[in-house]
Amino acid sequence: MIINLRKKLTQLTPLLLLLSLSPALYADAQLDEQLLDVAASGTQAQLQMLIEKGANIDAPGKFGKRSLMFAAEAGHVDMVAVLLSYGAEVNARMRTGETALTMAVEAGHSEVTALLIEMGANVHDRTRTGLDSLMIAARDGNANIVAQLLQFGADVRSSDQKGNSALMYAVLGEHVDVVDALFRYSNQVAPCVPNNIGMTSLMVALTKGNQVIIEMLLKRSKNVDFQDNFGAAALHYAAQYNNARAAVYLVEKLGAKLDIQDADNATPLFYAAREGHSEVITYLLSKGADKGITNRNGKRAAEVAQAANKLKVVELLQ
Amino acid sequence: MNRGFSTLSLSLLALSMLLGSVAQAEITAVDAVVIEALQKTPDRDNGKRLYYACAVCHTPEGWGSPSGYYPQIAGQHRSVLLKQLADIYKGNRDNPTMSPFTTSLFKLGSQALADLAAYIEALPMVPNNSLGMGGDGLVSGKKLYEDNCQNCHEANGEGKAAEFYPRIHGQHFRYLQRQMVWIKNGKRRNSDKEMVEQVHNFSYADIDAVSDYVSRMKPEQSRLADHLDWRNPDFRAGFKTVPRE
Repeated sequence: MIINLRKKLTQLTPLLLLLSLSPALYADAQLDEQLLDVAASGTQAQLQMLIEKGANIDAPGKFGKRSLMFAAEAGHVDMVAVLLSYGAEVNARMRTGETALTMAVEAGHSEVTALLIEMGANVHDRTRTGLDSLMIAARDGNANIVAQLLQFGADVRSSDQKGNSALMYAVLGEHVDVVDALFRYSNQVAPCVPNNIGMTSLMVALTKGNQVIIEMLLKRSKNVDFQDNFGAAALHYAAQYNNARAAVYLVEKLGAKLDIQDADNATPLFYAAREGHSEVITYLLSKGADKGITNRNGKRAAEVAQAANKLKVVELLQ
Repeated sequence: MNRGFSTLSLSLLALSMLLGSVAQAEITAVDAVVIEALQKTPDRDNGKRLYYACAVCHTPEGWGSPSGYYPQIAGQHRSVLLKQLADIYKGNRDNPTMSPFTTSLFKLGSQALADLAAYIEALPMVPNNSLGMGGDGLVSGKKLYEDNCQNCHEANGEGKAAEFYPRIHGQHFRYLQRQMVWIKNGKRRNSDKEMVEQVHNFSYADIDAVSDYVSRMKPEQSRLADHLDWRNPDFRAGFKTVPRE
């Protein structure tokens, strides 16, 4: 009988211990939860009070989201400063891969990003979508954050799963100040590096038509005869999008080949002909572009213009 | 806290200096806020509150880092602090980290600026700022300082508050050196025109020599903290900052 009782007591010991500790554990868990709530939408004083009471500043909430991430995402600079001053882990990641820095960058809170970066946040971290902080800031047009990241060694040459770099994102969004910041704070930005479909930032800029960005990129372009996955070079794009100024720069300053042919053997003249851009056609012809070249279908530029009903330029191409 | 600031006379001087420095051009709205801030009576508690985020990098004591990556700002003239904040805000001085903070500060207005600047000005300076290598260069450093810098920064590097010339004595050697290199290569664009010309004529050895000499100029004892372990009592012990090296 006594042996049985003793055996039962031994078996119950862990349970009794847990029961005696549980109020303390429960109270701690509540403090941690409150801290997360306050970090998202409270005040600096409330936050400080909870920390002083013993809340764990690095306690993870749902999906591993911590108080620093909540405060960073919400743009609470004062609370971010408090958490950092208490030693919150600056590079903790959520299960989704996001960090306090990527969240602050996504939300465009440049004071928060400044504090996080100065306190050692990893500027190379990527989210699960494959974007790093620099690409996100470039995509969203936040030049100041781009500059902060570059000052701390963010890699301008890195690209996402589609091969798009920060420069490509800035060009796509036509963010002039971001393109300027990229060139000002890094000497490794290359406008002629292609993405996965072979398009360079210069080509994308020519499709967008932002002349300020195009000129910034042209000044720094080198291998301008690089061809995309369909064989088109920058001059093809300039011709197709009726950018005579860019065509002049490409030909006269950068030595672009006038009669470079794409996968269908079409030269820039064909692209301009198809769209009926007389100014570009006149310029290309004045520089000696060959209007006798035929494409893969055996047609000349004039015939392509005729087929596209661009009758005004047919005469120029005859 | 005010350390002898006669706000009205200073602000009048400030106004005339700003007018002079922009060649009678219109005073920008930002400059007007700075002038207004110089006339305000500072609220120390609000200054302390505003300084919290600054302390993460500049340290609670405002002593910066011996490496000079972060400058010592403690004890700096209020007018100089405000001018630098204004220059960063206006884009005359590149500082992507500070820039968003200046945007918020100028949004808060002249009283907040006055509070913050006065709080920083009242902080005691570091008793052992980092120095250069010393040696023979100090002789030429002294000569260069007397010939080129003394007129504005004064004999002991105390600067001229009313004319926005910064206090440079007690500053970290590397910080002084880097700023002069940046002025020489054009990266720092908000300096006095005459100083830019002078620094352009300095060799890099000259910059090292004069920075070393200036870093060894000692502020008055009353401006220094009692000892190296002095900690700002407005901040709790164990306040984490960027690495102090």
